[in-house]
Amino acid sequence: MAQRPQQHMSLTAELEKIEQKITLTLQEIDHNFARAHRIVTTSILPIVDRYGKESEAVWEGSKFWKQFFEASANVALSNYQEEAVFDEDQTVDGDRARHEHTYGEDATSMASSPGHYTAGEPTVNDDDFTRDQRTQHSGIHGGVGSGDDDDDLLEDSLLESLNLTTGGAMQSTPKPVPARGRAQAQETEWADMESPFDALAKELTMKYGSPERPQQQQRQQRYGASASSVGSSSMLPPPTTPRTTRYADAETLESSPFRAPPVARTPGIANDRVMHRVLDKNWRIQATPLRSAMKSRYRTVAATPRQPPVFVKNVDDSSPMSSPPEPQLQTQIFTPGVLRTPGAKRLDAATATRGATGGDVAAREAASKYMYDDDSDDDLLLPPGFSPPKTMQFSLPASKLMATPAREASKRIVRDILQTAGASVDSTLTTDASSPIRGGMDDDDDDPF
Amino acid sequence: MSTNKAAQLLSRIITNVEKLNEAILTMTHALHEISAQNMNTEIVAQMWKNYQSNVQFHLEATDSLQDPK
Repeated sequence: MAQRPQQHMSLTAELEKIEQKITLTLQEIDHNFARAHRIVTTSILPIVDRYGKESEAVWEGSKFWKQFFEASANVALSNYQEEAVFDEDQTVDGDRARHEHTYGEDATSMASSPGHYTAGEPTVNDDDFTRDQRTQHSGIHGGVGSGDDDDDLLEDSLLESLNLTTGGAMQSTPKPVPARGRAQAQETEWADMESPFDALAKELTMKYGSPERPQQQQRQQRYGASASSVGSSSMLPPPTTPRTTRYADAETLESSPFRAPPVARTPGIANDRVMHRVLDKNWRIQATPLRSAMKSRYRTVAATPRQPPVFVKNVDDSSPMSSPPEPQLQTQIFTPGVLRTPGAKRLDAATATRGATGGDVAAREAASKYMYDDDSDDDLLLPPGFSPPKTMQFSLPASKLMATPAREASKRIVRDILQTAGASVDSTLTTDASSPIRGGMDDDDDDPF
Repeated sequence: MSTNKAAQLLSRIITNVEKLNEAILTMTHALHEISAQNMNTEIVAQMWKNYQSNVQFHLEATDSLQDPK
């Protein structure tokens, strides 16, 4: 009889003990969340702000060169974002792999907890993590790579050089990099600079002495090693996730903002996840060729001996960067002395031609002055987003466009009209000659252009 | 008693998680903007890299590549 209360007491004590444990655990969880919030707000956000400012400064410094290259290649480069289109299968696979991993770690924990990966799990599971990530990436890439090849075939980009991902996992317009170019790109060694993320991670480690941090870094390094090994085997894609699930990105960003650092070791190959794939957005680069302006400009310049016809060819060439003569062209363009003089000559010749047709010397001089200023504007004075050839496009070809295709167009229009009216092709031709429209267009044909 | 305490703790946790989530969202947003901005810089870097490749190729093809002095 006395045993029963004793047993009851012990059970109560045990229950209380368990409750205390639960309370302690909850307190610890609360504390951890509060700590995480504090770290994010007090440490990370200011650093991110600083990073943004520094990035802006860098962009200010390199803005000129972008305009310079745009003017050189006669294209207008612009970024635009588009919603990522997800492959259902990939989504399912990615989710499954992730969940498998989660269950492998701890079957009783919440599988979808974003912070799951960052929690200091036993080291044994790190291998699983790495392996899972690797398979995920390779799987995703395998799916995406083929799609990108198709895209590359379809898209006719003038600047294959703008393949920001080199491996083609990105969604940019460029053609696939030729074998030589790719090999060279692989050979390029990047300075072993510490990325801001690394610095941040170290700083946080030193400041807070988080026990999870070294493990995570180790994990990251391992992951980074696998990533770089994947990236260095030239055919394999960067371990980025160009098209992954929403969850993938959410987890990437929420669970560990520092997971990017090892990836950032090889810019252009592996940092695309952060650079080009942010919040379910795909970033694309649009290279708008300004062909008509260039053609008209160089057509008038055909008499100038220095003008290499290669340039015009290069503009139309779909892979200008890989052709051997191209560096020659670049050398000319980039030599400062040569840059100015032929440009001036060229423009003088152009305006001379134009002035001769007009027969007005004063207009020619004024035009040449204007043209020279315009040339100087090419690299320096134009606001970003506007390239000089664009302005030329509007001023120059207007008269030509009016003149040249008018004949063909009128023919076609008349023929179409007559055909729809039921006339045969022969009658079309006969009526074509006597057509008042045709007669009207003949006047235009007298135009020297 | 303890249930009440647990509930209080849970509500605290929820509040903290909300705050953390907000902070993370802010950070994500900032990083997003920075990344978008850095894309231009990356384009420039890529173009320079390609230019360097072209120059390298040209110099090697013409045997005029010299060691740096």
